Amino acid sequence: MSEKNSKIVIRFFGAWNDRKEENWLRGLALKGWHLESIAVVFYKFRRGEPADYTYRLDFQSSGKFDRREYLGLFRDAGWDFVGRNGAWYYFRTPTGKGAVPEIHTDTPSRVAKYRRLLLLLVLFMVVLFNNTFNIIGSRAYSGFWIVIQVIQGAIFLFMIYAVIRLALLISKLKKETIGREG
Amino acid sequence: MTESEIESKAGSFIPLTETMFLILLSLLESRHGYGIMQDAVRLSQGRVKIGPGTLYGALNVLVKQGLIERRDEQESEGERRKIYGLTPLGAAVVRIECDRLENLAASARLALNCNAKD
Repeated sequence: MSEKNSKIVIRFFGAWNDRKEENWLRGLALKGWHLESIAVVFYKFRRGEPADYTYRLDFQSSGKFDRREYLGLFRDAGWDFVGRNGAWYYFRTPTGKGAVPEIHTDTPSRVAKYRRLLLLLVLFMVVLFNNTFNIIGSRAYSGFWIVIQVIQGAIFLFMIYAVIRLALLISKLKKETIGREG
Repeated sequence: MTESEIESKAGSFIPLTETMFLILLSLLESRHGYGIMQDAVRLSQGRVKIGPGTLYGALNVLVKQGLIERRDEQESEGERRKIYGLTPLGAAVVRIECDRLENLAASARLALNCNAKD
């Protein structure tokens, strides 16, 4: 009798939904499935002892990003670096009995994380919009280009939705701390 | 920068968030990132824990603002860690913020005592 020791799960989470993703990963760890690596929408898990791990996702896109110092701070603070998915960094730590472990402990840094994400999304949208516009301007309306345009249009619309969700999340975070220093 | 220039520029950073204040306060002595996290817990009597994501961002902001600077790297337990210290501007900001909080707390104490007598 051989039980599978690893599995790959395909799942998509919106960029504004990182809390949901973190909770999903914790739930799987409680069942003994521990995240091993991530690539786009593919999550690879390894079977082990069930354990209560808190997962946290961080987003780093800066050009001046010092990866060694960054990961060193997390390691020193007791967080294991699980893997990277694009500009998303995945960490976990045993949940423990006290306060829930957090990697961002004040509002300005939580807001800054979603702002970095928002900025990158808007940049992508500008490029995509420009691209779509060029196709309309320069190509004859063959079937192939219409398909490309429809796909780009759909991605563009989804990105508008993502930007709105992120903007709402940022304003909610800010409202929670009005009159406080965060 | 002259002393009066430092003094007037320092005022523009006030008030600080609690995280920023504790980081600057801990850097009255040069420390690496993990040292700052531990010292912030001590300085706040265990009330404030600064997460690594927040600390990484805050250190970059403070360096950019010229309140702290990177010193030599330190090797311990096989890991190299960056050491940070206050600049003269950063030291002035800590002092001004400390005065502000002290004055505020003194006024608050006075008001609370007056209230208690009524």
